Amino acid sequence: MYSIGLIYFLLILITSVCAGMLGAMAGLGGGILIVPFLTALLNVNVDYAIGASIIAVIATSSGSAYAYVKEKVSNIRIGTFLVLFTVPGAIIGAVIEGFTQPKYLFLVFGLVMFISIFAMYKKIKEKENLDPVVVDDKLADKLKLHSKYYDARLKREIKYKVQRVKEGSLVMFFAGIASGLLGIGSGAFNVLGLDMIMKLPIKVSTTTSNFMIGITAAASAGIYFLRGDVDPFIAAPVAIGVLIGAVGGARILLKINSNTVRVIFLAILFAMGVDMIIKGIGGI
Amino acid sequence: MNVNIKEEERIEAKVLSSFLKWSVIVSAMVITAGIVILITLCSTGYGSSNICLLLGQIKGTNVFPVSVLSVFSGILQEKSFAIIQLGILFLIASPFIRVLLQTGIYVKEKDKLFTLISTVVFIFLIVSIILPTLIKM
Repeated sequence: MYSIGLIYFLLILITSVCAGMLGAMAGLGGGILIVPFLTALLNVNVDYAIGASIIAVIATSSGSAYAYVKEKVSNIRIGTFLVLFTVPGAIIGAVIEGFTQPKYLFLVFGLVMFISIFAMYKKIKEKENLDPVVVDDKLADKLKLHSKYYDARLKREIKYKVQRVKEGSLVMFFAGIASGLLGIGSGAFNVLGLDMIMKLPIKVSTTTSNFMIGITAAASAGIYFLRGDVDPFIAAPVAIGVLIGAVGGARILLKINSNTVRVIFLAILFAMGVDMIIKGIGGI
Repeated sequence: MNVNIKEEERIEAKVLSSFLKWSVIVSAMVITAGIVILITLCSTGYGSSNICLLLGQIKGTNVFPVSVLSVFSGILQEKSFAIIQLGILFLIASPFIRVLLQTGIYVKEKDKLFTLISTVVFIFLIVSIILPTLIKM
């Protein structure tokens, strides 16, 4: 039971526009914004909030991936290859969820996030190296993952070589497990793996992650829907809002500076880290 | 050889992006239609759970269709919640179709490795839907 009027409806819509916009730029689903907003401020049942958040992930992915795929910023081949690891990871995570102590897991992953924030922050301070030294990766050659994209901000084409595909795949597998286990999207870990391990340009990392999260989320969305966790009254404004936000966010990302993308991503990562540490300490 | 790859990637990007665009437009339109009907008719279409959005806060109940069949039967009766759920279902279905579409493109490109990869991804997706139901049973 919940009590909602037009104002609540509009509030959900506006928040979802923001979540969609940020999610589209940072390569994640925006659940970190939507779930606390719905549960803490609007008193929505947590199951419905998570159900709506899963729909938000798919909407972010489809809404932004359209522009990213068209402009060839997201690397479809990398995305498709890595989904091969996130989806089974998510399945395993969901299956073992019942046997684990989420309290400690939240602490561990929260800590991982804070370590990543420091590592990535160092990258912001360094001057962007557009033509970095690369280590050859045979698997990346075989899968033809190397590519290039046109950076509208720098007004030049940026070529990149994908590195450490095996290690990246392993990270994606654990990203999937974390996602299934903790009920969070895999987007944040995807971006970390793509950026820090596989050394993709940050815009390619977040947009490729965007391409991936829709597929990973769709795997669980069907289950949530059939279970009755997708309440149309909440999911409708969330879906519409996120779609509008994601389409807009995608347009912005193409034009802004790479470091701005990193700052947005880090801000969201910080919020997620704090959220997870609190959950870990609280033992929810 | 190099030129061919570029051409293929271009087609892949074009087909996928137009699919993404249309899937977003269709789901957004269906959901919006459901919202408009909800507002104008003041009815979710499901029993006592009438919500008059324009009249401020009115209690809603959590009665809504949760199976594909009930969504379709609700649409035939022009129930606003059923129409919204159809739009949501379109949204959920689009990544599945996206992967199938990719598989088709890779088959056409004769890219055996990625045909295999995208097929396995699709199988994983199906497994992820079926598995939880099996475990519960």
